[in-house]
Amino acid sequence: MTAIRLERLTKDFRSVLAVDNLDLSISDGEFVALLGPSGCGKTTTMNMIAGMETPTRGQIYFDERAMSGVAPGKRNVGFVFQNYAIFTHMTVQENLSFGLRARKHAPRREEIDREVKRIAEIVGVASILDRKAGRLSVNDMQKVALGRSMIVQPAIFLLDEPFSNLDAAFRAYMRAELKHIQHDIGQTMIYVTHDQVEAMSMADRIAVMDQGVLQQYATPMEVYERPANTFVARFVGSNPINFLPASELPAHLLRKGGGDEPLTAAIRPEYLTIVAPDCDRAALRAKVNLVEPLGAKDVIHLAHDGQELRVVSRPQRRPALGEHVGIALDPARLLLFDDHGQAVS
Amino acid sequence: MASVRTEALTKRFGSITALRDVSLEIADGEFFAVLGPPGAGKTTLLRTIIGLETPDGGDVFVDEERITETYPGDRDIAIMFQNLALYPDKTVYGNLAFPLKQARVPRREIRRRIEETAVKLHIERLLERKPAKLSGGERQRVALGRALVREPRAMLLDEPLSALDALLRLEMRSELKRLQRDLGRTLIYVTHDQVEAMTMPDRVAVLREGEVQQVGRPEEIYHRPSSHFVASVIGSPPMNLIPAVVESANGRLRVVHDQFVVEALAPVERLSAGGSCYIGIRPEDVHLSSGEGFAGRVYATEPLGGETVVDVTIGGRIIKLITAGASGLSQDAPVRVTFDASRLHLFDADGTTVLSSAGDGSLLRVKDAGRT
Amino acid sequence: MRSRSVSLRGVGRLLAIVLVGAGFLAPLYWMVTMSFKPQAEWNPIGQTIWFPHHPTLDNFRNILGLTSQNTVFFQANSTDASGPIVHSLIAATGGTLIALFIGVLAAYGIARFRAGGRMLPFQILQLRMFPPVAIIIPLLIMMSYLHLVDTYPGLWLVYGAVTFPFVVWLMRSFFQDLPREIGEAAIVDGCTQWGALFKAILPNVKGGLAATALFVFILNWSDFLIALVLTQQNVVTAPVFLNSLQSAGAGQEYGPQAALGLILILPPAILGLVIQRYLVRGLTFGAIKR
Repeated sequence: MTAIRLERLTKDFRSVLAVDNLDLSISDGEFVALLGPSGCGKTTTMNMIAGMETPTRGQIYFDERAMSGVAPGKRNVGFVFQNYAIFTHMTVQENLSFGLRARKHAPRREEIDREVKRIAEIVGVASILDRKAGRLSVNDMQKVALGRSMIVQPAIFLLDEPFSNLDAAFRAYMRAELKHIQHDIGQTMIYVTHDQVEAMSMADRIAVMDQGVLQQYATPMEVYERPANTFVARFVGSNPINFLPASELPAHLLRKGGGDEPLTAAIRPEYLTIVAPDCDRAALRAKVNLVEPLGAKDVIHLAHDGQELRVVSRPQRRPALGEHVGIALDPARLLLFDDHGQAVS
Repeated sequence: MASVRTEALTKRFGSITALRDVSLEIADGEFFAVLGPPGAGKTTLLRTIIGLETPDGGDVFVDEERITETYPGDRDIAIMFQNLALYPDKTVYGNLAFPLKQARVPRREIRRRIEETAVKLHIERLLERKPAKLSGGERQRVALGRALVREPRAMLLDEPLSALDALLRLEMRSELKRLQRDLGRTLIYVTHDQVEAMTMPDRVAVLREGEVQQVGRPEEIYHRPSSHFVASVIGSPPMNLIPAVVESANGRLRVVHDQFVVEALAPVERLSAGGSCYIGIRPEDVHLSSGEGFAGRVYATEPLGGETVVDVTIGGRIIKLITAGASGLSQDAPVRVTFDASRLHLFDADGTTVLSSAGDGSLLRVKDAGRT
Repeated sequence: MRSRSVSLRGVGRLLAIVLVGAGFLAPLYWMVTMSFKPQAEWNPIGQTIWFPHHPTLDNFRNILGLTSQNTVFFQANSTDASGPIVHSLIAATGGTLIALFIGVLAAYGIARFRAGGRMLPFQILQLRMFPPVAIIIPLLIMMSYLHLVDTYPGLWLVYGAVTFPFVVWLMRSFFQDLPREIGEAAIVDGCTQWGALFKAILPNVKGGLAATALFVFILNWSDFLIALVLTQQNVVTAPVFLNSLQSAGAGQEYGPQAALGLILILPPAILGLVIQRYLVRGLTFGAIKR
């Protein structure tokens, strides 16, 4: 169990600045997701924490102990990758116990067995301990990989897109599992992903990165409801946020900021409601372009003055294609950004 | 434009049966999706329709003309492969021109059709580039263009959006749907993504291990799945499945779980007393409640922004539910949940649907097991 | 301490590289310098000449038949190698074309249609495991029955047969690297099987094809044994001619030999440079999504 602090961490590959002056504090037992598109520097950051890349500048502290010059093997870091690195010729039992048996002072047999059983219960492979790992389903392999890293009780746990090879249903299942396990064992975890659903659903805090620069570091709900800039607003959320010029909204909806005048307004699709075009709640008027029924909800695509707006609603009355409708919005949910794309508070 | 029909298509690779008696009818101008997990035989189905695989049994018809033995190039069907298979040595223009040149279309006509297609797909500025110089989304459009430019009788698309990132995929989804609507071309679309299968097509066929499980409109499949396999491949997070025991009391069917009882208000066939069965309910039809309901504990919460998935342990099983906004619940907190009885499904021991209430509240009733 | 040991190791590594490099380059150095030496400096007794004292182009002139005035006394044979060089070009090119034609088609069949079953590629490779000398005599007898001894077609056939296994093995892997859907796309787009091969597939393995052709050409170009046995006077390839460059008076004609050797290196080197950009792998990038 370890707290981690990154101080002005920078990694400069000859042609690109992969990570730029990153400051980040992760508390003991916290579950932090590094979220961003490919090439945003999240994997480089993780590699530096693990010691596999040397920072160009800056420092990494584990419990206030500087890590520069500490070899990767000495950092006591557990890893789970996208391609479950398990030994396919060994049984699940042998895979799980490997880390303990490989130690210089290996614990006694009974102790190993006890530990293997405990971890197997946690990750859900207790019933298949005698199976050859190579014969397992992809899903079970990933559980074994998870368990194998957990058993050596690393100070911190780094996970690099561990679920991206799993099928959707199992991914949904594993999200809840991993979050539950992490909460139970109180392990510090850093989870690297490009999938905002994974970051949102599991992490205590999310560090959103783009082009090597930290964009926002906050709880999932904060990142969702109060994105620091337009990049975060766009990147987070299963249904893309709606942007429109602030000038198109009725003036009373716009909060006046201290300095810059807001240029862009944004609102999440579930905070828009379709109303009759002549309803006095209607802030905007638009034409229905497309209705996508998702079962649990509908996504309604609207055209407003050449802009596309999306509304997510419970499937109730569906407007017809081409119908003119009014859009009501909740002023408290309206986000405003200045001309640099930064949030206006 | 044409209708496409497969009749009892069967295809074996060695000891593996990739397709088993697949009979589908796709209407002229229809947007038809084939949904299934990896390995379900979706790609084999497309390859058999276009003639890259020869079926071991059954036939393929286009506009009621049997084309089972016709050479692929003579079927007038286009395909967009999952890996796109653009010609790397040729420019975008060369890629689009290739099928037209084979068909000996006059040069001026080729230029006209390519320009027309390029405008439709917004790739008019890319015509002189090689595929290596394109982004993922652009390659996707070019591959689509190469299929479109021939003006084929039908188009087959194999997971066309799978390599795109989430935002682009969303954009392409509505664009592709609009494009298909404008062109009115018969489209067979293979995907493993249930959202794509829900939102885009007119009808969906769900495939499992080479067999058709169900064909219908997306919402029909969502609300009246024919089996719990179908129920689990469509909808996210997937439908909750709760094992239970069938009990006949007072001539009426009761399905019993340690925490609750589902009572059928009308006679239900195909379930016999003492047998096992499954109760299915989608996460959005399970609700947190402040008073009534079954007691459980929060296993984990998964905030998604606009909504939160809450995993609740009830009687040793985890049930997922969706609630709007932030849940404000912490792990292990005690909660009560209710089931929307008008949205329940009953499956027999083999997973075949026995009853889907599908909005009708008069079929089933849910009661607390402790209070009966 | 630490930096010292690192630099010591660095020096040791450098030394090893220089020594091994010198070992490899020595014969080349010998050949280049020798080709510019006048006869007196070829093999002076009791003396080692590292660099020609009186550099001359006479050796090249002699080899290319550009001069009749001869510094070599008691010369038994002509040193004019222009004929043999042309013979070699014709023989090696013909053999290479035959090997490519058969090999490319075989490789495509094996890569795409698993023609001949799983073992065929290995069986083809096995052909290369016989030392050529083991079959050279039966080959000679066969060729003489066919009246192909000392003819170009005779050499072409044998060169083609001996080198086509390489073509099969190299091209098979290039074909396999190309997604099969590219060929299938061409078929769906209206090509015949042949059309798909020539219009969609071969253009995308140009690099591999060029590399294979170069490799096979070098093998044929440098063949000595087959040409020695199967040819007499109508066709005299350059390596065979090189071997004959000796005279009663001067013994080994080191100068002309070195000059011819240098000239023989040129075609493969030039071809290599010309097709260098095709030799770079990864030309198919962008064809498929990864």
